[in-house]
Amino acid sequence: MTEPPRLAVRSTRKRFPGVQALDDVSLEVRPGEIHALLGENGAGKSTLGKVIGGVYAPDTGEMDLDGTPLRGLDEHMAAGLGIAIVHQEGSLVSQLTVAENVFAGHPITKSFGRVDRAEIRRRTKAIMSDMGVEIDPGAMVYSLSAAQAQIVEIAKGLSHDLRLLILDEPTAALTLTETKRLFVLLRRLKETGVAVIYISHRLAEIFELCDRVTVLKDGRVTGTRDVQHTTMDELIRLMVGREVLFQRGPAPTVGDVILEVDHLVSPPVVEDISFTVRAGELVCLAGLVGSGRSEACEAIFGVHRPSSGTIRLKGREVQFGGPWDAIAAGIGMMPEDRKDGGLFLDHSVAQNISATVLHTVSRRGVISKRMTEELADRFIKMLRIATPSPWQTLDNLSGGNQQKVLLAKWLAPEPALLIVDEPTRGVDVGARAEIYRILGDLKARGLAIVVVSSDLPEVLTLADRIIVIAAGRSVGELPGEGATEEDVLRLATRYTRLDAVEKVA
Amino acid sequence: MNDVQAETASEQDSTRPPSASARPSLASRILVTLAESRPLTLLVLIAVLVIGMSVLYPNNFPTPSNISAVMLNAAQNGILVTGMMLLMIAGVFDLSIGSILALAGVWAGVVVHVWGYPAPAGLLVGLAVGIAAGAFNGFLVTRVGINALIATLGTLAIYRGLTYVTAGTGVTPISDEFKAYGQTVILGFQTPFWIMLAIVGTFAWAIARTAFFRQFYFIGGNARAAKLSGIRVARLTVVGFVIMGLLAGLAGVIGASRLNSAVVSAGISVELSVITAAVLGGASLRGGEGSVIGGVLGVMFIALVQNAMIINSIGIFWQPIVTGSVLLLAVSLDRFKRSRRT
Repeated sequence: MTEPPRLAVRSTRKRFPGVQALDDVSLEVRPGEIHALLGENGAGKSTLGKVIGGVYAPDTGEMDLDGTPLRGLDEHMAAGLGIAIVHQEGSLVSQLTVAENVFAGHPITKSFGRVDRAEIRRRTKAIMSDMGVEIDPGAMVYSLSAAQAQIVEIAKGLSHDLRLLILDEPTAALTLTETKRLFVLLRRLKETGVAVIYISHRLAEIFELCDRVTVLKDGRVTGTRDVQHTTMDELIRLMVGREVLFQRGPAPTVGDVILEVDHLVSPPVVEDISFTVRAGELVCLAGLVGSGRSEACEAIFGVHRPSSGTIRLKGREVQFGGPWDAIAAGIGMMPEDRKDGGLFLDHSVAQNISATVLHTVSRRGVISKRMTEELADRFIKMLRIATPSPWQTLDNLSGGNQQKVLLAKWLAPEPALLIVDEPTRGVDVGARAEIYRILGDLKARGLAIVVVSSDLPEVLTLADRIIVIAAGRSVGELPGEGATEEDVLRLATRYTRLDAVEKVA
Repeated sequence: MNDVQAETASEQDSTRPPSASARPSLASRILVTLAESRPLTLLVLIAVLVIGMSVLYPNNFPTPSNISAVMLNAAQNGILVTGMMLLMIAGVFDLSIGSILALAGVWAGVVVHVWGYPAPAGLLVGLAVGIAAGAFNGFLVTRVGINALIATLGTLAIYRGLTYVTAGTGVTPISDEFKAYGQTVILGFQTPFWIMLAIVGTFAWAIARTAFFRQFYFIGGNARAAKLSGIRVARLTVVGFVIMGLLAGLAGVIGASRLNSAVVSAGISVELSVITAAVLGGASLRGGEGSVIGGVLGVMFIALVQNAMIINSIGIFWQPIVTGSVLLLAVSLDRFKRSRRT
């Protein structure tokens, strides 16, 4: 091929404190190609997208656009060169109109710097009709749906001479029909010669839409394939295989069924989830981010009221008015967001640990400082929490120790069932090993444990059984012993909403 | 890759040294120690003010009648700041307290003077009006989901309007039996002072020590974590507004009794001086911190400043300027403390 690639990335590295996000990454994208970037959570896909879009400066490496080297690329320069990036989080100003957003970076002005509203509306309308969509250029952005907002982001790119469009997990917030419509739009762009980088971890979408796919793992490229000449199994093999750092514990001695979840439905995410957990057993809910695992746990814990389905605890059907009822019934839940939902960072270690059991450290309703301290000391010893004193404020502790305080807070009420959402997010390897050991000890003492984790090696290390959740449904069950990352991913990606689209079509 | 960013952020956190490494100067250490406990700061300021005034004006300031007058003036806001402190600990506040105060006073007056019921009935109706008004505020904030600022700004107007509708020009006189609530003198102090002392003492102990009120600190510290810890955030917030309403109602009844007259303009803009006192006393709009003792010391401090200016014959118009300056100084000190911690 004599024509230079639309984009060439060579030997690019990017390091964040504590993690090599991109390690010697090279990539070529051709004009008129939809090129997928595939990988697990944390593989480096979004970082690469942001480097190409000028959001992050790489530590080393070179990039060419249509054969011209890109130096000192920033977002503004990227936009001028026709590189548009549609972020996961969105970048529109909700209090402005569609047209004003589309031309936000380079407004068309009349005399005295006045924005020529009529002109930008006219041009926005033209862009929209080129894309084959109908969005009123005068509409306020806050009145748009997630899908429409995304189209406005793409239109923003088209307001320049668009050469390269980067989409980061574009379908995460879209419905079936919206996803299909987006794909039609992307194919149309591709025919006009625009190159598209499509970041996703949804395999089915890649097979539906993309021409080539580059797979990332731990910041490295593990392979680039023509979609027509590859298989899901091959891509999954390229995605997985991270080093397993920890040994599995011994097989559990399980007791009675503690939790039975039967056809749980809790809109908008949880569509049909069923599983059981026995005493002394650790069950992992595995699946992609956004598949409804955390939402299912919140429904079980009484944060949201399920719209249908039953939850049985020790054989008795339960309906909780709120987390307080769930706690009284013997359930604990460690939320995934330690700082937002888990801990009181301005309060001390002892106050945090006693937060769920204020009545047990009180006499006739009056809190006993001594009993609070005894309770805290017990857990500081048991979980080896590194703190100078039980009265140390939590924001001075490391992430791993904060996580242990969170665990202590949930062990204090002595639950029969403990739900742990992302047990090791943001903790270092040493603390991770300790948390695994603690979970193993708790299991041996007969606690029923549910772990939600996006980290597949973690799932394979911890789980006695794995329940795979995809698109709000429990789609399969695997034994923890002997299961592989491939097995889990195959189940987690097989059932996506696209399958439903294909069945309808 | 949001996960990586989240992880790196918390890793940076975990490697942060537990204490500041730079050695602070003596001046900043003194400032930090003082700023560390707001009640302590206020106590020092109050002591300086009392000693200074006693030395400068030995004939006017430290007299029983002057002290009694200062305490009588502080009684109303002392009662109100107790409830406000509880709300602010939970991360909310109530702007409608002045209107509740007037509405409760007027209803007590109407029940006793116009309808001819005995004084205790007036007291009970006044308290009931306060409870109902507080419950409605709590309902708006928790069930309807209106922000506390907007919700109580709305009811501030509504309750004041109801006061005018109930008794356009107020109720005067109420009754001799009724005025005994606010005008009896015990051990040199009038009843409002003793009532305030009882309320402040009870709540200061309860809020600092009981498991029930400890939950308010958790709500203000992190409402989502409180909910996920099984704390009934909405229910307790309503309880907080009801207690605030009850105390505002009580203050209204006592005020009406003191004057033997229910005034429709009673308590206008009292919410601002009460919130000022609460913030002086260590509350923050973020919630999760503060103590009743701190709030009451804030009230005492403002009352003493006011008294000192009257005795000094400095125009009373200067008083808000001084109070405002002290408030800003105290909060700046707080920023200083925080910036040193993080």
